[in-house]
Amino acid sequence: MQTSTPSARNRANRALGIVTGTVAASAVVAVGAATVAAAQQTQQAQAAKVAKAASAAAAPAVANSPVEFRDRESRTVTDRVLTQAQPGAAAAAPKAPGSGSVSTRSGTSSSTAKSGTSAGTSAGTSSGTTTKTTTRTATAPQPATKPVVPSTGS
Amino acid sequence: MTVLSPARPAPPQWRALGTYVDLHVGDPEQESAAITLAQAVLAEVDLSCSRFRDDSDLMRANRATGEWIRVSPVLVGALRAAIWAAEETDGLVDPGLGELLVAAGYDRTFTDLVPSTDPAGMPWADLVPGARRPSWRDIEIDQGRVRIPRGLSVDLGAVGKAYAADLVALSIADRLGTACVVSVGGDVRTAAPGSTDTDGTGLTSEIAIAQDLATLHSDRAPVCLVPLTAGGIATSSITARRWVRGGTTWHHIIDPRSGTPAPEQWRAVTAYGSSAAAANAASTAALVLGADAVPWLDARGIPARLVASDETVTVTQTWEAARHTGCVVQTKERQ
Repeated sequence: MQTSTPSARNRANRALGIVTGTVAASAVVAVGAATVAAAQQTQQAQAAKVAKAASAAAAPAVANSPVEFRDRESRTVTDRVLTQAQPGAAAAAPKAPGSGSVSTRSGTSSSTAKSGTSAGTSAGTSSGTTTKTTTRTATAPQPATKPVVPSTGS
Repeated sequence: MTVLSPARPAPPQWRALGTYVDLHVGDPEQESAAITLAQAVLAEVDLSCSRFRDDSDLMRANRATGEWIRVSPVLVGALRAAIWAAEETDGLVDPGLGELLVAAGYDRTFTDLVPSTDPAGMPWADLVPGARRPSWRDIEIDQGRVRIPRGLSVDLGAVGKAYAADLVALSIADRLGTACVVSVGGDVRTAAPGSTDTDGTGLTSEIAIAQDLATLHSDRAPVCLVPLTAGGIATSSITARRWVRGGTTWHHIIDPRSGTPAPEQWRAVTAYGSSAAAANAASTAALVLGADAVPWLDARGIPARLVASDETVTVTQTWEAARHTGCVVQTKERQ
């Protein structure tokens, strides 16, 4: 059985106080740390929100500034089709047999757009040439039903 | 004039580029694939050439005026077509009117336009008399890059739809191996595998001509039917896209010489061409020219049909021949 003397009680109380203080300090530190962590999280969340808002606000500015072109991975229109689609591309095609009425014009497009290589091609083709406009009858087989397609102003 | 028979099978229709699309293929088994391909082509055209979306190549180029900028091959092709049309019409079909159209209120896709009492701002009003404004002649193209001159804003509206029709028809013929005919807002192109725009496609289509879709679907006015066997045909009209700005009614055909809407001499003009883009250039130029249109068209041998404001019809010298054959063939010979 342990004897409780005043000095022993004092020692015990001091020891208890030390422990209590330590625990309290630890608790304070822990709470503080948690608070700091929470504050940091809040700050990060706020920062993220601000960044997001700033990003959203900056989006129109980005859209309004020229950005480097990135060639799209999936192109539908091929280079061959682009070549065929160029107006005047078939100008050198053989004249159809049995041509109908004819009228002529002289090259009227003396003006040329500045062009490194390509636009000048069409300009050069049309300039200084004579265009002979003819019509002919198509002789290819016809399907049973002709499609009807609208051509209207739109 | 032939009155449209209502008992004919209708080809697939949908909307794209702010207008209607109408497609028919020679091989019915390819119809589904052709629609899918056409929609993909039109989406690519929209992403490349639209004036109404910030992420299009055209708008990037318009924002970067004065600088070389890489753009998609489709925009390069469309710009070449637009410059070609401007050259062929001596600038009557002008791709450099974007700023003017925006100032006049046509600053969004047409279906979103609302009448406004705001006066139309005139971007050319501040121009010093005699000063040269930037023009389509200053547009530069080189190896997949373009440079739009400072002070110019490109709008591909007139030729853009027609060029899209050319791309759709040629893509279907090239990749699916079937003849087809497509109308993109009235700009029609037919194509077949292995054919050029001067060959018959083997597919004869009947083109129903009207000043606008409302007229086409009404019983009020008879519709003229003409054949198309090769190349393209296009109808331009001042009745379809009209809006009110500052109390003034505008339409989308602008006379580049004055910066104002073209005269209303003609309500609609239809022209044959070796492509839809070529046909559209002719029909648009005729609207701009007004009273001078017929001699201009005749001098170039362009088959065309012009409907006046009072609905009287005038045709050019080569129109009847084209009506019999369904096409116009242009061959160019060096002098």
